[in-house]
Amino acid sequence: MKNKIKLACIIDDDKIYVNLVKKIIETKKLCDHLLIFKDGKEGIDYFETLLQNFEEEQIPEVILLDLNMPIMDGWEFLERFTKIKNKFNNPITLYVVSSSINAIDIDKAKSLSTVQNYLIKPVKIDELEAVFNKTA
Amino acid sequence: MTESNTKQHIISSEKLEEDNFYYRESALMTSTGSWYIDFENKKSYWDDITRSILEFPLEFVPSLRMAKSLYAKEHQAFIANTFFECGISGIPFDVEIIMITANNRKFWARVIGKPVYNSEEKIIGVRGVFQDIDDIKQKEINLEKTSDIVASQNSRLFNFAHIVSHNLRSHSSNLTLIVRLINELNTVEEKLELLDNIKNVSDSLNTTIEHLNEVVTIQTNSNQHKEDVSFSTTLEQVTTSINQIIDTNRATINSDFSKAESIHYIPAYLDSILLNLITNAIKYKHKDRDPIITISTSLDYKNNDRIVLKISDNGSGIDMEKFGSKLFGMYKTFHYNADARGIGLFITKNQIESLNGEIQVESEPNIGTTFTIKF
Repeated sequence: MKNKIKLACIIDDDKIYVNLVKKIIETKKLCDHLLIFKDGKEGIDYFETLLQNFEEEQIPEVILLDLNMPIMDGWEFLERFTKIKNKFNNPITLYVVSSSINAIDIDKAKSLSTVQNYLIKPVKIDELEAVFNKTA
Repeated sequence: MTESNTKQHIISSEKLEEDNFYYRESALMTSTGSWYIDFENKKSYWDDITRSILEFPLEFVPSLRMAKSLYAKEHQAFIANTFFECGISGIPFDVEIIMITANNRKFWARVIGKPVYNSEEKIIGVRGVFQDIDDIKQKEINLEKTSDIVASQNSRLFNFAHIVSHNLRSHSSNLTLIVRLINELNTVEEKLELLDNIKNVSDSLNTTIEHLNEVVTIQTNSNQHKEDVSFSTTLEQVTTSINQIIDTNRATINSDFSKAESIHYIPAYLDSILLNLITNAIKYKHKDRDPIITISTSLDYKNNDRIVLKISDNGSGIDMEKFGSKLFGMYKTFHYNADARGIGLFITKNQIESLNGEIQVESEPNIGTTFTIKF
């Protein structure tokens, strides 16, 4: 393995899912630190604030984004995030992780340049490992 | 007159009488009466069948002035405009509207008219027919109603299937993930730690199924017993049951049910609708002011005096552009309130629609929200 990922970010309102992914990441030691936001608004607020004044270690290398969330859903997050993502020096790889098996959602997400890939919940553990290793 | 000429004359007069007979027969059988409006002499003429359709005596002489009174109030402006367009611009028309007979009976009529020109191509009148199409129209309206009901049931069913698949999926996928993780972990202690997660999934699964059950109950209960329910009595019951919430939030509830005091409805539904909308208004109050909720009824005279209930608040409001389409969806919450469960408005909408009503919302952030229910 090359460099291990230092910081990853989960944007998801399902607490149980977040706990489980956190557990997998810890067990498999996939990254050092994890940022967790419970909806798109919290997530985008973080990145937009970071834009003013950021240090490299505050920028996650991977984002796992849910679609169906209260207050601000994944789609709106994607729209706003796409506008600012290039202002960060380092590339940020974003995966949509959703329980939606609706073909319209999947095609729409995959067609966006900001989205690296679409993972359907429940995620497989090796799938998750691959995400972190590929990005690292 | 030669002999052959006379013969011809007799034949054509016989023919004319025969034609007349057929015209009259078809006019009678199809309930179609003729009329003519003469602009030059400012008079109108009706044939016998028009008089009989409109239930006027045979010797009755129509006048231009009374024309308006032949049409239902809601169609008067429209028909006046239609006649005007025909008389001025020569546009022929063929419309279906509600007419009123001399005995004050309303019926659906087809009115067809076209301009009459003189030799100088000037419009000198409008001529046409009235046809009584009430039977057909009533059937059409009933069919439309039935089809609307079927369509709305269908869309609720589709929506429900979507909710079931989506909401159950998120739980089953968490369960799968737990199993995968258990297989992956090495020590018994670590595996045991995951038991808590199973408990959480099972709790939320139960809650979801309870909610789905509530929705199913609404669908099957819509033929439940209806009775005359008083708005003020129901409001009193609701406010008594949430007395504490109202007091702690210093909420004021004003009501005016003078326009419609009661409604033929399922009592439990009216109770639940008021309860949901009032608790919502309090839950999403504006942070700088005490909640004031105004509840009133009115009659929609354009719509068979349908009863309309309005509930307005001065709360924090909702960004309709962003959330309007999702407002009544299940598990959609737009606020950070910890007690938002995203089920209330969904249930309310389902209850109202299962009894063929509608609910609409207008809202402005920082100003407040108004829910309008047409029963």
